[in-house]
Amino acid sequence: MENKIRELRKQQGISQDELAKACGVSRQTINAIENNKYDPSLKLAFQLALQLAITVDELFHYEEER
Amino acid sequence: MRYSTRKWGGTIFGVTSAIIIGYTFYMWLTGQTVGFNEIISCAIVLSAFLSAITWGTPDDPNGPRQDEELGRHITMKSAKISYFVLVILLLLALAVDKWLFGRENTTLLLVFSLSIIILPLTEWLVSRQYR
Repeated sequence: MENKIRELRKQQGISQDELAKACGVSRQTINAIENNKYDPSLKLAFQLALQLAITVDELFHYEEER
Repeated sequence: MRYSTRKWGGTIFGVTSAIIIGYTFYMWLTGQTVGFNEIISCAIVLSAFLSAITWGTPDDPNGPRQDEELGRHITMKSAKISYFVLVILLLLALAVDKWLFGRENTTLLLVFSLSIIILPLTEWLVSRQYR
């Protein structure tokens, strides 16, 4: 699933480490999500959206698999 | 540059592993008996070394932590892969016993059979929680 985390994080001047600490996860988790290697849980998706002041559906882009 | 907890752990367990494995190898080379204690010691220190270089700690932001989301995902994925590797290794051990040494190892056959049953059995038990 694609997302806008990196783009929004950079716009707001937040580092991966800072976002990770705010969400209670490791920096690697944020990095893996930004690189579309790992889809976060619903709880973490909401935490990320809250930290980046955006809604979950705006933060993540879901495309049905063919 | 700050030397992280993970690097410290990796270095300490790496050196310990090298010493213990090296000593075991030396014992084997010199014809001394390499038994249960030596082999288990090698496995334990190697396991500790691999854990130390994999997992981060709260004060080391560069490694995934076992207690957080990605850590749990890594653990679950690794557990499933390890299970299949272990089943294949058991099958290989059975084959080696049978074709190389001409032995029928009943205990090993029993463990191999259990290893085939244990995954679907656990899945069935876990699935009952979500009914």
